[in-house]
Amino acid sequence: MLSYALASSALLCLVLTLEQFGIPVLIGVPGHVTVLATQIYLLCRFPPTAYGLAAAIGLTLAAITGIAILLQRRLARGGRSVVTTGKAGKITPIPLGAWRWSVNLVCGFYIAVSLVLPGLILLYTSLIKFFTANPFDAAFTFRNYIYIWNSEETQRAIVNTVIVSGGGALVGVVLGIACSYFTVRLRPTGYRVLDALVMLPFGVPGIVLGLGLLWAYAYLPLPLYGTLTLIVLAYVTRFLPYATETSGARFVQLDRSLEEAAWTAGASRISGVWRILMPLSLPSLQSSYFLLFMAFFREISATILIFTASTSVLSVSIWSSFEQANWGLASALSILAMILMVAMMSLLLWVMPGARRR
Amino acid sequence: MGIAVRNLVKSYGALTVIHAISFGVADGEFVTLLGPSGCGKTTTLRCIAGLETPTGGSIAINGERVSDPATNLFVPPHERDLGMVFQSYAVWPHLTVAENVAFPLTVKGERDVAGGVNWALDIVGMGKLAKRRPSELSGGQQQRVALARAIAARPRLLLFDEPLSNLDARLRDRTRLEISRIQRELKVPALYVTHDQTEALSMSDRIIVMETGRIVQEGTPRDLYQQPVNRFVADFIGNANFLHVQRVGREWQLENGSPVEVDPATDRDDGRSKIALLRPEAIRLDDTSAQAIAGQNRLTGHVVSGMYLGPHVEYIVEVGTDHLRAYSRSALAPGSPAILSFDARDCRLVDDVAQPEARLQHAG
Repeated sequence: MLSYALASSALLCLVLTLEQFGIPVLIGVPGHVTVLATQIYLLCRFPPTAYGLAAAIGLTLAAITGIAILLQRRLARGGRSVVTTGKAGKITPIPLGAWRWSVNLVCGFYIAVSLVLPGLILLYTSLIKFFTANPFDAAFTFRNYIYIWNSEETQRAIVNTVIVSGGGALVGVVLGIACSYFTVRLRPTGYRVLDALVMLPFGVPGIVLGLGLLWAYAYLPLPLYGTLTLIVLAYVTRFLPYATETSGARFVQLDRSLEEAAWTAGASRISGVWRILMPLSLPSLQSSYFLLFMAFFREISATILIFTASTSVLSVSIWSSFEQANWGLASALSILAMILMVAMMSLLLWVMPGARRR
Repeated sequence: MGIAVRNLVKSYGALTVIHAISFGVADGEFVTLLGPSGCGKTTTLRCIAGLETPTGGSIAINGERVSDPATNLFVPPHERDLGMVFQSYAVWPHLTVAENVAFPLTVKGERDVAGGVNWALDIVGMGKLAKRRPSELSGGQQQRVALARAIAARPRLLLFDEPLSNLDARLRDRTRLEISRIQRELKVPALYVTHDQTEALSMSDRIIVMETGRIVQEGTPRDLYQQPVNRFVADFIGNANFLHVQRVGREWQLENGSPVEVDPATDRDDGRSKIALLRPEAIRLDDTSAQAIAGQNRLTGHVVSGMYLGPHVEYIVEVGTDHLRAYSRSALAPGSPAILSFDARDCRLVDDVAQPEARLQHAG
């Protein structure tokens, strides 16, 4: 039973690693370590550009992750069917005894290394004038923050980020509701195709999706290239499974008769969805909005190939200043992004208490 | 007026669960669809509500056609002007009692919503709990809210889908009386689905017995109990004893040769195999000292077991190869001989069909 879960999470990690773009592009590229995802970016961004080669790499990458996702879902299903036959058991904590402190220490160390330390370093580099041999000798300045305050370009990126995350997440949630209603309730012939189509982008790395969208809308007569709509389209496509999984899981829990009672009481189908299904699913919808908002806020891989000067977002701005070796500004922007994100998270949790439940 | 169902057919792919049934519900009449699970009764009800799309036949409510696949006619449930009570109550947990009941009134754009809510809640005796949430109510109270919601907009038809099966026995009896009283007060036609014969017998003006997607028999509760057409109906409604009898010359005999006089009205030679129905309460059970009663059947048997129930003792008596249930107030020891007396008119020949033909294609 455990082997199912282990194999399935190993595959999931493989997919997430293959898709990873932000970290290898920041750490890997300067050291000439390239992975498939960053290779696509480099081929498209710097001369000599080779879009054909990039597309070929993209398809290969998508094929690998796609197969892995298919395998993972099959494994996860296999594991689940085993679990559901048993009775729901009580979870008994294993007493660790003397080991307890060492385990706590390991966890604390991990958090310190992966979260606290980088955060402090970011704050530090955003405030120093220049790097010194002894970190404690540094002279401090607010010039990066003052620059951000005065930079119209950065402010536009911040506004864009908020629009794309806030508005895009709403679009995603609404689309997610529609898809789940089709696949869970209406089940018209061929609903499985829709189900699979929604899940498909899950196996496509963001950079590949971005490449596809770049090609599609740079050449198609649709006036989407260079608009925020295109960015929202990319994000919604990429993260729609988050929304459908959350709302679909809730719809399955709600007995059909709740809606049927609304119809026999004189409510149309739409009215039944709006007045019965939506309020009863509100916590799930809120948490799916929350998930999408967070995902959209930090997304970079799908944006990096399709953004233009007027549609840049915060994650791209950070990357650009990093690329120009302006580490102080990159750090200041990162600090700003973190503060903004925490503020938005708190605001969302305050407005939508239901989002916390998951 | 009421409901008129003509040749209703419902199929799921190759599987047909309702085989061209026809019936009606008159204005103000309370009709019950009775049958074991999978007999198609709930599907029939859902077709009338518009929650299922029929495959064939027509349905009319108050003379207005609401479904007729032949002419592609299908009126959606919200335009059928009906009230429905579900087995699962289906009370909306995010609304208060009053908001639940107000729902049909507001969606239909009624002017006096508050008045309608009070009227409906008063009828089911829930006026004091109007501000409560469904989670704060017992199962019986929730089902009353569902009932109030169903009647609030004064629909032209009430549908019940096993509304009592989730309630405990005592509550079921009370709610049963309540539903009957309300339906008679409102004089609105009602179609009620159940597998519980007590509910069907006690509430209905007329009962329609269904089995494997077909109507086996319909009639008043008294008709069905006293004159069932076959073994299935006799067994399903009330307690039934069956005597295996065979025609020998001009008379009917048990397998041990004892002659049995049966109701002459049922003694038809239609070529179908017959079995004799004898209700337990028609049997008079005595010890061997009992005198023969003129004009009555008299059979001798052995007491197999007795169960003391208070008003009487329920005995199982072996007569020939058959085991019969009979009631008596006297104490009879297991193993002791006993005399069974019964009127010939109470011993009816019925078709020996426990399960009508189409049992094999069992419906889900």
